[in-house]
Amino acid sequence: MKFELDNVELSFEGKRILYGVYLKAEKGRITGILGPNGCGKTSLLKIFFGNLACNNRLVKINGRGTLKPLYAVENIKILPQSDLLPSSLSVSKLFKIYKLSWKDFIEKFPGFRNCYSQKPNQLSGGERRLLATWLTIKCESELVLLDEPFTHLTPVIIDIIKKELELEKKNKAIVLTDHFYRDLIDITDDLYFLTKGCTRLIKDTTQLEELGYINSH
Amino acid sequence: MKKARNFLFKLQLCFSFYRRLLLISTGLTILLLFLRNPLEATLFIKICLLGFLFLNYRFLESKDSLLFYKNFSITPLFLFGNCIFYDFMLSLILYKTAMLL
Repeated sequence: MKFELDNVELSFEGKRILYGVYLKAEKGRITGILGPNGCGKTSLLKIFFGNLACNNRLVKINGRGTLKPLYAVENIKILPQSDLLPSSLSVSKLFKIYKLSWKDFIEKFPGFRNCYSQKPNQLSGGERRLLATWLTIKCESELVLLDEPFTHLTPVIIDIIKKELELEKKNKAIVLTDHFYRDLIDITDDLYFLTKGCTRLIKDTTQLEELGYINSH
Repeated sequence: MKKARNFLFKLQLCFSFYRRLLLISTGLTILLLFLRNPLEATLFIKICLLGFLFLNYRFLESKDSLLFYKNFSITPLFLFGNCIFYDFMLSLILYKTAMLL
């Protein structure tokens, strides 16, 4: 399955944020987005998902355009930077809703063993983030959009999540953005750099140095 | 069959959202019942309150808080439409019970 986002135009109070964006996400591939702070990465993901209205956008599914928000027509998931999980539902209920195995989760993260009956607001910020990330990437879907999935996570956990993403990409298209650029570059098959409202496909990491995103030494 | 199961699943999720409003809504209905407010007026007040809540979610900061439901292809309109339905049912049950008593 192939998802494309094209002709995006987004303005805030007369200031043009996005105007030359093209993004492609395909099943079997991980697409990464890098860019300086405030360049519109989060807005781009929200526009793709269908949660943010913009002046113009074209979303294509397998080459066919759709006017409806993508979340309403396809089984897609988004992990926002903010808290995703409602505090009214317990962890056990969440695993049932997402149709995922609790056993698989605690095998990877034994520290959660006693959290089954707790609610997300009883967990720490990092635990909530890990739980939301796991549920989002492991749940059955066609496309997963991840906004800074590595933030608030320890390096060991980031490595586990990266391995899971590599496994999950066989069944779904994945788009992610993060400032942990080494981790992101490690796992992405296609890398875009977003700056001055436009996306640019990055073929070589030296291009990121030329663009001033990373230091050359 | 799969579509019907998916629809039921969405209704359950909508109810889990409505559950947070259940206590407040029950309290308000009982209060209006004691004030001898007619059922139609109570339903109108409920629609207005849920409408305000919908606008708050639709246009203000809390827009992101519906992402959990959108992840399951539940649109805000479907979510709040269901909430109004559940609320109507609750009000009807409480009014009919009061009439029987």
